[in-house]
Amino acid sequence: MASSADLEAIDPRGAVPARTAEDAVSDALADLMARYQEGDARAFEELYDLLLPRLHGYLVSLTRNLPRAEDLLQETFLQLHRSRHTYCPPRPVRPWAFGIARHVYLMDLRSAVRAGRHVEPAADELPEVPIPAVALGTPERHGLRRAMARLPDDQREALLLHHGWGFTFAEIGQMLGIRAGAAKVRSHRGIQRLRELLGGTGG
Amino acid sequence: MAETQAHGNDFAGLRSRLTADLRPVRRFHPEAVALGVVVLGFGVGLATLRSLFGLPATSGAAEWLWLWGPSLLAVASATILIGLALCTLVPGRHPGPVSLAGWTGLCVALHLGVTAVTYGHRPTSLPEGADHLSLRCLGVELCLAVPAAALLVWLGRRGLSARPYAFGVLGALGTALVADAAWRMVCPYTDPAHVLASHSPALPAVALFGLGLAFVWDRRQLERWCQRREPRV
Repeated sequence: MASSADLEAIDPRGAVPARTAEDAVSDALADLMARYQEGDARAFEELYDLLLPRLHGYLVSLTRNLPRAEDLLQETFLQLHRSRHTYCPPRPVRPWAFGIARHVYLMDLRSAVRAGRHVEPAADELPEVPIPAVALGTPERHGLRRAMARLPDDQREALLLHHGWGFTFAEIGQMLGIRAGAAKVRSHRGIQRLRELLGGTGG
Repeated sequence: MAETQAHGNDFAGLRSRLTADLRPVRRFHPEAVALGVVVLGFGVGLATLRSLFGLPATSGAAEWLWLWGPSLLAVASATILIGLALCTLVPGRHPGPVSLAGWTGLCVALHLGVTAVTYGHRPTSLPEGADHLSLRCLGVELCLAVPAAALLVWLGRRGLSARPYAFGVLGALGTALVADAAWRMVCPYTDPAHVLASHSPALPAVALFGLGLAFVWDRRQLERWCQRREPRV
């Protein structure tokens, strides 16, 4: 999950600075991932620790349901292990890992529909996700989490990926299979909608 | 960090299971796979066709360039299309719909452009009563492209398919374009009517074949997923 320092670094106009703590993490992840592919157990342990909270937060934002997110997190790591040969160094690891988490989430949705399984209702509030409070110019985190949960899924996803985890719009476009411009539009609309929601609730 | 430790406890079993399974893996390179499939398929296809049918005579380097150059350009663009299709198998590297549609459009435009260029340089039509040659052209293209598309989808199973249908259709279309380019170097008839009736239909046919393979693959993937997940629900 993005640290408070990362969130502070977010420009109020929505631009991500050129070099953040996440960039340093990205470099470390690429090195660890290459070693993981070579069978290095220590690299795997470190990679696991670095990715776990980030993927957990992403799955929480997708499912809006903590138990389901934790269940899918296990599946994501299994899939990540099985698909580790698909990572191509020195490309960034996070879009690849988040892409796997997204794939797992979508497969779970499809299997639920196929099996007629009931998917647990989403929570009214988004727990444990990085909230871009600074980007909105408001410190009211509780209201933000509630408002975030009310955003359309595609807008919330693009907004959090950019403002919460610091992905570029080009990376988001490649993760979601859309144009970078479309990712930017989704994120921007999400911010606008959040402002409306917070304005309406006095946030 | 406390949160990480909490998760670490929850996931200790999974972690030790994965640690026990650590071994070096061979990396999946979509670009290398695409290039390998195209070079191998095109080379083997062209050599086979040459030994079976021979190559049309050319009267010099300039004519060779006019007749074969556009086909080689079509092969190059099809290679990129296959590479893009394979990129859909790598998480976080999905080409956007504009890239995919753009390259598909360019490849189809090149297919038509090659027809115009070769006909403009050396116009030859089917002889009267030689309709069986039309079927031969379609058959040869399908015989070349269908196994190549099947091979590509089989190789693609190493990737993680988030968009299997896009991969199946575009990958198969790419192999059909390569097969078409190879056969067009051998087929002596450049009349656009012949090309559109006997060569071009192989493209949508092989793309549909790729879609079918992708459907089967996707179903199996989903079934395996359901079998793995349902006992835990």
